[in-house]
Amino acid sequence: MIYLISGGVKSHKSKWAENIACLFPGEKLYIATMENKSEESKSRIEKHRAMRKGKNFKTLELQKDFKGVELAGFSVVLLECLGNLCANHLFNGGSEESFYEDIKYLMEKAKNLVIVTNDISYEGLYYTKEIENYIKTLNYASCFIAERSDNVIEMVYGNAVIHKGSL
Amino acid sequence: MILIIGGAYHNKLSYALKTYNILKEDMQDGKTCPLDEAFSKKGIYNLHLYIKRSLEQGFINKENALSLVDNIGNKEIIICDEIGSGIIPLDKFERSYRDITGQIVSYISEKADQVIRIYYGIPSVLKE
Repeated sequence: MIYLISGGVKSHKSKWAENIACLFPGEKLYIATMENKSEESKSRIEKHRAMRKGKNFKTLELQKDFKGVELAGFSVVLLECLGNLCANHLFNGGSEESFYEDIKYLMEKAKNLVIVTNDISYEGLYYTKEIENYIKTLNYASCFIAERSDNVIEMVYGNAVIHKGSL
Repeated sequence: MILIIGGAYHNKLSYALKTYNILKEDMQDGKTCPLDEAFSKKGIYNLHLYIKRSLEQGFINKENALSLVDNIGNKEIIICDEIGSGIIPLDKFERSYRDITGQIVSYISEKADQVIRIYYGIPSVLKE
């Protein structure tokens, strides 16, 4: 099963993603793509860690380049999140191609997969060429995943809108 | 008339081409078409960019903005990005572009037989 979960900031998409992952018994793998550098990201990471405690997750902090990571032993892989992964590729020594390689690797190798992405689509402002390209790459990647997902869920402040599949 | 809306880069156009079995060439591109030829084909995509260019180039203004879609007739398919949910732009032009796009799309939505919202390529029917 592949799940795609999107939503705005603080829409509870991470919490839902974790709850969905917990439907699969056994050891789960949590791939955290956020760079662990600033105080702010450290506190976000701590919050997410506390949320996962006792739920049988192994945490792998990896910004990108998943090829070779052993996924077969886990009942489900949770990727948090596609927006960070996309930025890590586009702005930190990768490309759109290498971004898709990571996505495809997860889709091929994980027994079950939950992908969290960010909804950044509803603003008409043009920032810079790089940012426009980031939005485009992230959203098209989400479309690519949505097409191949069993379930596509939009989170709206704790409420789930099911666009595809069921819960 | 079918109105298709959704966030930027959510595969709205490819959904329309596939679902209604039409060619891209049969659709006008609001990003590049001559301002007076927006409604000369079966439909138009990037309507928001057409509105933006029409404002930038003085083809319409705040007062007569709805005249832009006077001769929309019964176009088959209109595709537009939803652009109204960000921070209110500091720039005056960006603010009026956002406002006017909202007015025009609401107007078309009222006239349309069907309104479909696309989420990462997946349709939801808002009106039919």
